[in-house]
Amino acid sequence: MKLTNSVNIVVAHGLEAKPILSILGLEKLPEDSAYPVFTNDEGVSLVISGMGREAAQQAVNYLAGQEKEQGHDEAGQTSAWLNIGIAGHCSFDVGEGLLINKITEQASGETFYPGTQLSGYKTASLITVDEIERGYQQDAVYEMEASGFYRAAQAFSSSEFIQAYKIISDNRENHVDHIDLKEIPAMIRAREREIVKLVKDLFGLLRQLNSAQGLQHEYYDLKSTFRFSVTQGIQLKRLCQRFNAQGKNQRLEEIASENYRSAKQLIAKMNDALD
Amino acid sequence: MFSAIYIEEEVAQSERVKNILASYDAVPHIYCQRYGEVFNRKSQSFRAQKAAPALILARKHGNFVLPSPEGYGFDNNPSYYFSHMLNCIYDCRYCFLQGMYRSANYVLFVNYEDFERSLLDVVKKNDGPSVFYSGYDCDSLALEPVSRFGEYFLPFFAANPRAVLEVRTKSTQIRSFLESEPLDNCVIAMSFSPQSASEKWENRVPSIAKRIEALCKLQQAGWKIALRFEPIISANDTVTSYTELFRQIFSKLDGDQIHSASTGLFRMPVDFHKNIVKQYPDEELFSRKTEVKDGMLALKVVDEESQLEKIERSLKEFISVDQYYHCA
Repeated sequence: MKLTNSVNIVVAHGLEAKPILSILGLEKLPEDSAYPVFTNDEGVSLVISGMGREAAQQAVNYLAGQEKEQGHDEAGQTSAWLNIGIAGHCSFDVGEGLLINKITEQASGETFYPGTQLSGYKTASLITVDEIERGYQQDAVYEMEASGFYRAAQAFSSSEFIQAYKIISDNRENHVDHIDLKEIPAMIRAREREIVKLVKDLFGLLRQLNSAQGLQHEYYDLKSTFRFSVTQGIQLKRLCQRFNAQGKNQRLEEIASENYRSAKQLIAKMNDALD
Repeated sequence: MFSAIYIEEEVAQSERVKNILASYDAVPHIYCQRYGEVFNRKSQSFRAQKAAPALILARKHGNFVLPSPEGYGFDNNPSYYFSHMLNCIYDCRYCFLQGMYRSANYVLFVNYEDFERSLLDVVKKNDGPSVFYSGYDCDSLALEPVSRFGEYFLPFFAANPRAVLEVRTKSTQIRSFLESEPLDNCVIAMSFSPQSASEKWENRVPSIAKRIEALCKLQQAGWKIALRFEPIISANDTVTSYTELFRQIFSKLDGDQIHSASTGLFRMPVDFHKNIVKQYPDEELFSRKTEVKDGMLALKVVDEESQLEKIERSLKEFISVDQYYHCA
């Protein structure tokens, strides 16, 4: 069964990215790309988007495009998306890590609700602003990317697999105007355990879902051997799923090894075998 | 029990909501404008949510009481259904709810008073008796400790004896009933599948034995109880497994005192089936051949009608013809 589980991380700034690269063992892709992209062998990718919600949105679209080119779509595999970065809050302690369960975009009033299936995290709601927040008026985490990130990611995945994790860098007592940028990597590094857990939890969720959606190698072999119309392609996929659901993968293997004149003949044979 | 609780701002200050939130203060409380923002949005995985659903506390606006589908139910009087809740805490793989809603989160409509007003309007509109079914979009009692649905609505039906209430459930949360005087116009209808089907498809549901035990207590306390055998899903041993189930049930319950027993075949709208297949492409039940019968999707079974006849014959060894009906 072909399975590809991916966790895609979007980070605004290199200072935020640096500790995460080290924590997750990510290395820069050698090829030239529109964005700096880092990956490891375990299915994690990280892109540095630049600041602001539009930049985050475009970075998600870029990474999703890369996945599509690699055939992720066809495999029916879901990816997880994770936005990590620093943020401000009126009273949370500097260094605190929060999993976000509600995102409000201040400019439009639009709201997004990341899924709540992950447990063991302190949670908070968040407001994405277009200018640095200095008043901390509401009981919410303030930052500048999450709404754009979420808006884009929901086109490629479902809410349970789209998460935002923010580390508090400033509050009323430690005002944003006095942040020492050099301290940011250490703040993020201090949340290493939670970041690792978060990535692991997302992979856990993905495995459960993607294993149900995975297709046998026979699907891909047959797809490349015959010319299928769009409808026939959908039929082939569903037939392969049904063979799997009925515990008949061995029979599928036998059928796939036989000769057929056309996709139509193959599909008829597969249908007969499932009667 | 809940991964989070969403609360519509409009209902946040109601006593009912405050009591629920107080019982679950360790769970994230997330405020929203309308439950649809969370429940109806695109890009959700029903399957992923089912592993850890959230509760959504909301206000229902309109359509509190609706006419029940044709062929549904045990009575020829005007019949209706009302849903104080959407979705079910159980995870029965054959359930049409998997294909009906985008979300597996539970929605609890907390404005019971509005439901009650609508029920009264409908009762007054009908000259004679009317029947009200609860449990179409949810399990009526599974969340009783949170919803207190039975606790709230039983007094209404006590005060309106012409209105008959059917409470459809697989739950053993019957305390509200045991702590109340039994009502002549209230029927608790428990759903059952045979043991093999239950093990295969009824996740998180109380065991058959526990459900029978709950019915025994209700029957002994003077409540009317009913049995619902649906959906019937064909297997190699369908008839014998149902016969065994009937023996198990009627060895404990007084068959003469059963309000009614019904059967229903596996049917669902075609679109619901398509949605469920997308969520559960690996589920054997939904990989079976299907056909459309009377506009509804059915499993393609050669001898479905004759199996049903045999099951009915077996059931009628324990109850009278008058107690039985087949739900279309």
